[in-house]
Amino acid sequence: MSDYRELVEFIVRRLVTLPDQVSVTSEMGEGDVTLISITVAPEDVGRVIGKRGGTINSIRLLTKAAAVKENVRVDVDIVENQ
Amino acid sequence: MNDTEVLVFDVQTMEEARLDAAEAWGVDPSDVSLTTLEEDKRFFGFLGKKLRVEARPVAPLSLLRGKSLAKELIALMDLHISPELDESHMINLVGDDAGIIIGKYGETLKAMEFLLNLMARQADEGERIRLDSDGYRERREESLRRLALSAARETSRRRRPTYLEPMTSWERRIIHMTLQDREGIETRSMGEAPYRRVVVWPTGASEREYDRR
Repeated sequence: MSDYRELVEFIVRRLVTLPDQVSVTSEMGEGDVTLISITVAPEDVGRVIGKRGGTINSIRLLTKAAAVKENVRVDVDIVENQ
Repeated sequence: MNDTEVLVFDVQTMEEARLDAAEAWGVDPSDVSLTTLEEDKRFFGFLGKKLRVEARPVAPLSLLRGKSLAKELIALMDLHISPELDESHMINLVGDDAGIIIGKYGETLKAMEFLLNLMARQADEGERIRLDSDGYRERREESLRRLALSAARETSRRRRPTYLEPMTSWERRIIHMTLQDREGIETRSMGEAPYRRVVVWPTGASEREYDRR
C-alpha cells in the first residue's frame, strides 16, 4: 500500500529551497476522501504550485496514480495563508 | 549535490568508493564506473590494501539522478515498475503497472517527467530527463501524425483554422514536422505552456481575420 503523505513529502522536499520547513499531513475528509495538506515556507509556495498550477497538478496526478489500485480518492492541496 | 563528473577516492575497497561516489552524486551505486589509479601495499595486513580509485558516472548525471529519483517515487507509489536508461537516453519504465504510470492520455507519465526535471535539474542544468513506458511515445507519435493530417485536410476543405488540443513541446513538434511540407496550410503554436496548442491555418490567412479570443 502506498503512503500518500510520504510520497508528497518526498517530492515537495526536493522542490523547495527550505526543506526543513516542509510539513505534510494526511486526514480523512468528507466522503472518504484522503486529504493531503502541504505547508511550506511562504517564499516556497510559488515553487510548489508552479506556473499555472503545473507543479501542484503534477503532484496530484502522481498521488492519484498511487491510489488507483486501492481504489480510494486522494486530494492534495497547499496551505497558502498561515 | 556534487556535480564534478570525476571523483577520486582513497579507500580500502572498491565497494567503498562505489558507495561514496553514488552518495555524492545522488545516483544508484550500479551507475558508477570505477578505475584503480594506484595500489599502495605498504599497509597490507595492517590497514588493508589502500586504493586510489577514480569514479565516473556511466551516463550524464542529470539522467542517472532522474532514474534514481524515479525508482524512489515508484517505490513510494507501491507500483511494480523499474526504470531503465536506454541508448537514446530515454528512461523507460518497465513492468506490470505500466498502464497506471502512463495514465489517461499519458498524463501521469508527463507529470512524472515534469517533476523529475524539477527535482533532478534544479538550475535547469544537464540533459533533460525524458520518460517512456510500454511503447507509449511511439503510439502517441503515430496518433499525432494522423491527427495532424486530418486537421490539415479539415483546414484546406473549410478554409478555416483548426485548433488542436493543448500539447507538450514534444507533441507540438511532431505536428509541425508532419505538416511542414504540406501545401495550402501552415502551423503555428499559440498560448502558453501547459495550454500551448498548435493551430493549423490556411496559408496566407491573417490572424486577425480568425481571432477567437
